[in-house]
Amino acid sequence: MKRKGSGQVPGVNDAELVAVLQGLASVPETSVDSADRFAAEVRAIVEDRAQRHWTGEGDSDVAVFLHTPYPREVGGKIGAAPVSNLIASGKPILGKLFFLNPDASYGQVIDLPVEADRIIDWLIERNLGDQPLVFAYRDSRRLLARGRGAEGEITRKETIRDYPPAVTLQEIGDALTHTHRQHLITPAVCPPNVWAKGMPAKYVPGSEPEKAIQRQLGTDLRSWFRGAVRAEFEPPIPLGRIDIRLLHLRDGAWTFWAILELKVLRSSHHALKGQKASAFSLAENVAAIAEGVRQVNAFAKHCYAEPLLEIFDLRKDKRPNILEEQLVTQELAKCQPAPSCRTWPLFGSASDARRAGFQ
Amino acid sequence: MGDLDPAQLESWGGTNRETLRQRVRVIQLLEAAERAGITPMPARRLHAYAYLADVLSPVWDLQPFEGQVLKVKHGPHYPDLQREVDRLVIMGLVTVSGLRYVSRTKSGPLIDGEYAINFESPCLEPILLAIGARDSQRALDVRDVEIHTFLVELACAIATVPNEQIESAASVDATYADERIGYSNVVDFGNWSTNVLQDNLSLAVTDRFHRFLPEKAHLSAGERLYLYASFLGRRMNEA
Repeated sequence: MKRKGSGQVPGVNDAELVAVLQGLASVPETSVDSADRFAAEVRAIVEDRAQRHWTGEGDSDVAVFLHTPYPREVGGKIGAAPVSNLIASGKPILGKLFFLNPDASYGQVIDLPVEADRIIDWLIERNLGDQPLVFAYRDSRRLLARGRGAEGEITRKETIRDYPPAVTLQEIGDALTHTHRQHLITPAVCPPNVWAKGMPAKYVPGSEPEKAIQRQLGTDLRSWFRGAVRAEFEPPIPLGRIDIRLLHLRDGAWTFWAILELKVLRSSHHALKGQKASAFSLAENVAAIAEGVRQVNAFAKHCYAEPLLEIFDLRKDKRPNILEEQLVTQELAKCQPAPSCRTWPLFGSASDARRAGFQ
Repeated sequence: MGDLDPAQLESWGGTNRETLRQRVRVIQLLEAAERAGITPMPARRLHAYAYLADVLSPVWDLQPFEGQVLKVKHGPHYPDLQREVDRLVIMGLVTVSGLRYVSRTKSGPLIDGEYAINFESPCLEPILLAIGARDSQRALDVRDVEIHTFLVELACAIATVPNEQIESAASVDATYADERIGYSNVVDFGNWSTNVLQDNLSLAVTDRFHRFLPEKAHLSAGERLYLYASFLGRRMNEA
């Protein structure tokens, strides 16, 4: 069947479509891991309550959200009640245990059957220990997600915000700082493939560390800015492929806002466990960053967006400052305006991170 | 229960291949609706959901199960699908609750109920394995895995519409509500269509969203489904 261009659709007013698109940044991220998708949607519910000053909530401090493949089946076994549209309904969430769909929008609910600190055991006893789980604590404003279920470790720690995210460059910096501290700084919290398996202590990078960092950043930015900003991953343009592109609403229309180009500094090339990794030279690192400057400058100009070069430093020795190397400064001098360049140190061990002053 | 081989699936579906297709279709739809948490579903809601799955399947680069439907005032209705829903109830794979008469002005009363997967059925798990609701390794046809993914995303998107409004969603759908096609006529959006965007206005709407984004901005198939569901919700609230 042929598909010809998309002109005005008979019977459909374009104003309807423009109005619908205002909610684009609240559309669930369907391409990410289901645990991350669920955690982002739960976060939206909890922050909605926080922004309404927890109106209508009782004395309880905690709400528990479980993503389960078949909410009705689970709910039916424990006498749960149906629940829907948790944001729109504004119903109380504290003191409840929810069994929900991937978007945390529909499912079943019961009052917490045991004290909050016994919920994990309660779920495991009922063979529900392997499904994504999120705890929200009002008093400490903490959101703790266990992406691999009650039996797994905490995979996300968020602060429950009682204000919506600001659409500012400063806020992007805050979001990246959060991701850096929570998901990148040491191998224990890093996503797979940032470091070579079994060799982070030797500072051997994974096969595609940029891709792994890009996925983590993209997921986190979507969650952080849900409802306000849209993040695109690897959109192609004639000049190449952008790592992350952010769009925001300006005067009711979506416009490109910022381009994030991600680069990695290395001590060595990738190697498999047991193999010797060959050194990655300073000249190679400098060339990579100079290319990053050229890329982000070109991409940002093409999209009329803010250029942000984010450098993830996987070197054992974080010196020299790559942004002071001559080839890089020459490229930066050619840019008008100069891109914002930030360097984020990643450490091959927790002790190295502590020695560098991170707590 | 072990895996179901093709011969067993044939026997479950009866001797008629079309019957088998329809039964697989029912299970796929209801299983995806279970994942979205929007079950049990009254018949009208199930048929509306089946219609939206057909008309929006090109968004996922899939062929519609039925490329046409008779346009009637109370929304899409598929007699073949309903017949197999009823048979699956008798076979114990689907449950029905809240049976009741629904009066209709011209067509006489209709028996309606709320349908859902019967998780107690011992036959359910091997069937779900066979029709791609678990993983691609054990599916008899790997295309069913993609259909399953699409139906789950569609059901989750539809779940953004208040539950009681889902059955009305098809009636405001851009293709079904096309005023150029009167009641008692066939809405053909895939069977004989030579220009799918001209005949499938729902698909055209999901394409048209791009017009209001910066040039080259990308919308994923999933995002287009959610935006379209939001479009339906908005139309119902304005109706």
